[in-house]
Amino acid sequence: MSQNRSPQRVLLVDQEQDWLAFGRTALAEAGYRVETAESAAKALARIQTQEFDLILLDMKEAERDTTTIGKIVASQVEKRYHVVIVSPTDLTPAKMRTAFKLGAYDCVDKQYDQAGLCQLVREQFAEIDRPAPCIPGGIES
Amino acid sequence: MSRNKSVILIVEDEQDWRTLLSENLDSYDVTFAENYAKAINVIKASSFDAIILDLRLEDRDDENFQGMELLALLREKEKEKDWNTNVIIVSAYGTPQQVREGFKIHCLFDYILKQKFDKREYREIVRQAISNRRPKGS
Repeated sequence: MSQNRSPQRVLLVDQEQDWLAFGRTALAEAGYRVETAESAAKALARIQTQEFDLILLDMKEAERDTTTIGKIVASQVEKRYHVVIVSPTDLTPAKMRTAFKLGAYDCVDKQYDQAGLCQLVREQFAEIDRPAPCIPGGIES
Repeated sequence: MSRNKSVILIVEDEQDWRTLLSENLDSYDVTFAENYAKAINVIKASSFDAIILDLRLEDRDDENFQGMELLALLREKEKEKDWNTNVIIVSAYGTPQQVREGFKIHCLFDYILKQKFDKREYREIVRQAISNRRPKGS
């Protein structure tokens, strides 16, 4: 799905300004091009004017604005990015199901340290370059 | 079995749950498999419009979730161009990682937790699973 572009472009979507600042710094130091958005609506606006390879989306925002999330995930294939939902609380089967039914490419634990966040992003980019076995289901319109 | 009706396979070892999962599905032809071995045989012999699968079946002694193995078999059948069956897991035992594996690797259509089972939601999921199949041959 994604070709190797250098540097790889990440969009962080989260209501928590502190986490956005942390994530921007951590990933920029690791060599990624990072943009941030405080809401799904702002993320959608960015996606329409900028290209990204990976979007990390906080679960709370995803659950808060499912309509906008639906628009974002619907463009995954066309715009060649992956949406990964990150959960700030312990993942449960129900939360995992919610993420995939929203149309996310993946759902993982949110990371709060540089090493963990960089590893999360590295792993997602490693997956992006392999053929995806399943197309995200998404919300039935 | 009428081919005018969509055909559903329910793989579930508990009688009460087989009854519950087949209630109000009168517009479909329903086949049951009560254990892993029968499920394998039925899937190899027939085609279905949707499969509803319990994650843990009781006819194996090991601790592995047999349902995930069955999902892997279904994933192989998915590669056949005339197989376009959506699979719904109904389980009380799944872990977040099994849910993730189900959707990401096995192309699961949905995952229903028995603890939060809702009849109306279930019927709607089944309806969507049948109506949202990819075209055969694609």
